[in-house]
Amino acid sequence: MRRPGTTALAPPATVLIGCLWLVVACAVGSPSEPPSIGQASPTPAVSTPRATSASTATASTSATGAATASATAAPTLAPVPPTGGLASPPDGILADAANSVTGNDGSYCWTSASGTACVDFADFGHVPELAELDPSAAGAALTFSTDPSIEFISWKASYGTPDGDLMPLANGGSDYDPDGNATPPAGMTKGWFAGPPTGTWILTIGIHLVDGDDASYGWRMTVP
Amino acid sequence: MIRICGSAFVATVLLALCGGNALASSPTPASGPTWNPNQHVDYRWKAGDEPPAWMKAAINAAAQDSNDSRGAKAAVLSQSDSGSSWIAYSADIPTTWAIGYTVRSIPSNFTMRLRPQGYPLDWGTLRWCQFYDSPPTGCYDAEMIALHEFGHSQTLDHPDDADVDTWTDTVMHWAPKTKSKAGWNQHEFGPCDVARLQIRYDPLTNSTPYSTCLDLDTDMSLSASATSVYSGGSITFTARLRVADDASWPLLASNPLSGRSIVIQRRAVGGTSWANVGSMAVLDDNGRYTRSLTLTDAYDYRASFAAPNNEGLEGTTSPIVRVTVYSSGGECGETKSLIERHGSFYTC
Repeated sequence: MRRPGTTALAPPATVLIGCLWLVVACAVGSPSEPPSIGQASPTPAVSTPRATSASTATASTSATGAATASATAAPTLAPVPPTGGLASPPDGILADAANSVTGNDGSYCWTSASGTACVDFADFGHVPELAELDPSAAGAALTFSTDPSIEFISWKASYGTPDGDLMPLANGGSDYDPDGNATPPAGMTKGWFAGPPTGTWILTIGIHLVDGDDASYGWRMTVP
Repeated sequence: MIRICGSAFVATVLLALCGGNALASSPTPASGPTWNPNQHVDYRWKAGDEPPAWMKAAINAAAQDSNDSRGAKAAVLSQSDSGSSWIAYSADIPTTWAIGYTVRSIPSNFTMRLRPQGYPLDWGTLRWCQFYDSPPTGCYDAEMIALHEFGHSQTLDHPDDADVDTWTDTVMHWAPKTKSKAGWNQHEFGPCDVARLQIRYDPLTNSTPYSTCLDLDTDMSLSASATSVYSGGSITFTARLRVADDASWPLLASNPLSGRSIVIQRRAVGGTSWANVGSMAVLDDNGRYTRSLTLTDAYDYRASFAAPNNEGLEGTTSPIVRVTVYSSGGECGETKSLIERHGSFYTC
């Protein structure tokens, strides 16, 4: 094991994401910064009801799985409520071009006035009522956010089969260590990434906040 | 635009090709205030929600697992009827899916709740392995889950699975495994849990191994009782080993490192290759090591600490100390001052 560092994606996934980034960036062609895969990004605002609803983003996906965004990426700069005001983690929202779905809550550690509470979940693999989001194609563009919106410093998405180990899919933000010497990084309110390949998966997203608190969310996903 | 996109694509491909093997576990995340060093934290069984005997045994075993494997001055846990912290066997846990729940209010106390055997959750019926004479596949090991909860009481949070290279690097996973998946019954903190406890609490002693989940630079100094001596005279070398001053974690920076293997090496004056002379003995618990040598020729000396494979320290060598050796009766320009400073040694 080595010094803590950035977790690298598997090469194929990184290449795929790189291609997606390239296509999206070149297609948008805007003088403003394009959304960066694996980082906080100015993705379209996503509605956050528990029921499926249309988001403002539109995208088409080629047969090869490379998404071509046709949306104008309007930055979401609404005021962010202070994290400490929530007694428990906010809902986690995952959206593709057509839908946004509130995920099931997973384990978390959350600090409030009464201390830090850690709730430990079993796993998402066997939850019969797991929230489901079915992207239209492999590698479809997905957006993660929370409701209410909070700032997190890192997020990591993983996927796997219900009985198998999870594999890294994408990540963003900084592996900031509150116990170290580093300056706290800027927070983000969204993560933007390319979805998993064809198959039926459990997709999980974990977030970490600047003070060390964490939360996790899960979805079921069938990718054609 | 095309040039920018092309550069980005090339950079991404290079990242994929060059960075694909960069997976490495990080110290388990943690947050909030810590207990005092080695603070004794006693827990009692919550009245009205006492666990059954088999669960009590598992919890007490987990507390001992924490004490035995913490590798740091984290809290020392033990059961006592007068404890200020409490543990309950209760369904009074937020959500319809959780199996364990810990709230820490440091440095006062913590509370822990474990769901009862057979409780219907939204993902199925909870089964604790310790409840059965022959634990079925799919049960949760109560000792490991309790250790996970004690980890929360010690300020540990959850690592992202993407940050964990080997499952057993931590017991603090978002979702623990059931029997008989690998790691389902781990009964000690993983190295990345220990790393975080050491970062937050300091290692137990200066001789305690640093977790292999860390990768700390080290510094070493070397001094000699004299820098010149008559042939056949004796010189005592003293080395001091410590964690580098600029370590990423302030609590670990400059920590003395005792009980390690230090070798003194020499090379001919003007030479380039070093040869081991011998091991240096531990002088004290403050990271100092010593070795006395009888010298007949002039050499450059240094102390060497090779990176051990059982802890997270980088190797280092000290700056060079040159010792000049004079033939008996020869000239010695520093005779007077050396005798004054090192009168007990056989020096010029």
